[in-house]
Amino acid sequence: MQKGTTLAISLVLAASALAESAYAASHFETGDEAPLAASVRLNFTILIPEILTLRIDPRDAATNALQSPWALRVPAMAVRADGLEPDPTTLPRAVASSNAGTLATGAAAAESVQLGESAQANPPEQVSLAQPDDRPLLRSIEPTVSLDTHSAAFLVALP
Amino acid sequence: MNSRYVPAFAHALRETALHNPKFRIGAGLLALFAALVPAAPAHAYTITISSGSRAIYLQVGQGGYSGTHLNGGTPGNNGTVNTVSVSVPAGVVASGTAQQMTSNSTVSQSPIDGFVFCSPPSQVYIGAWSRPGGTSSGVATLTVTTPANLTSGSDTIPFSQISWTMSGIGDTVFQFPNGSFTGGTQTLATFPANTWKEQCMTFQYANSVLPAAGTYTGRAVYTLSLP
Repeated sequence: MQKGTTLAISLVLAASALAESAYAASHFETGDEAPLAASVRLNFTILIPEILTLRIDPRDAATNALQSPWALRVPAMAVRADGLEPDPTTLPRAVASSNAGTLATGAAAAESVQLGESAQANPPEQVSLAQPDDRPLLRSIEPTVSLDTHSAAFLVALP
Repeated sequence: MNSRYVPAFAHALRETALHNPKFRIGAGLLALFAALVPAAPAHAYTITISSGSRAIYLQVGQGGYSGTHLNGGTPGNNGTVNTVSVSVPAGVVASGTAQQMTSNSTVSQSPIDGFVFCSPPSQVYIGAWSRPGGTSSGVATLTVTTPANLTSGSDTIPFSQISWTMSGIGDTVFQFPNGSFTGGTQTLATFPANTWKEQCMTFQYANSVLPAAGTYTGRAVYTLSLP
């Protein structure tokens, strides 16, 4: 008798849990038990597109000393994934940086320049770039990126 | 908060009138009568419902009502899980410019009376009522629980990046607070015996972090509990 009662209670509890899990947007619950609970769910989805993150190690190769200020130049051609001519209105934009740098428009509006200060004790700095018009960035940007600093020993790496 | 004080039953009629012009004149006369009676605090879009057997009802997004409360409709369950989403343009990722989210909920009408209250897809209906049964004065509590993060594989976005604003067509006093998820359990409202509160939620993504590319998902669980 006790086993039967336990089984029945278990089945009721299981059914109750199953039923509750099925209620999604609206839930009506009635009964004398306490507490009485109704649960519904709401899903959230955030789509983050591909952007390019460059890691810069602004140290002199010989002395390992931090170089500051530094500048990262990104030619517009470097971010054209569709093979078309560079469009000065679609220069890449720095969307985040681990340094206090700001993105300036480069010479002849054909490049963007990420200016930075080597404030971090432990490089690398990190710069993330995105196209204003949402076109995908070239993944092989490395050959077209140059650093305008005191030394050519800085590292620019793709993730 | 509304500084006016009217009896709860008159307030219910006033709310009904706001939702349905057919009842506006009658409700106005009764509200005038009610203004002469000792009063309880009034809250916009809180209506009283008749007492009866112990029951609660909670709706976020798609509803389970057959018909409307005003026309004798009955509550029920709805298995749909609505989704609130945003696709962040690459050019503004992590710019700090908040991105409005939209939902796949199509609910615009209040299940109280069919009044067009919310504006989908930007708004998601939220409403609930509690009937503790008999003469009980039990107070129900509405909470929302979220995990710390939305996830995409091993990558994460803090749930605190999502906030909401309460509103509703024709509404000026709101039943639930504006806020942002905390990655835990938050109390949204309490429900005195035999009351129904409703609102429309607009969600925003703060866009102030730089996550890896991906589709991040997470789930909020709203719970109405009557002790």
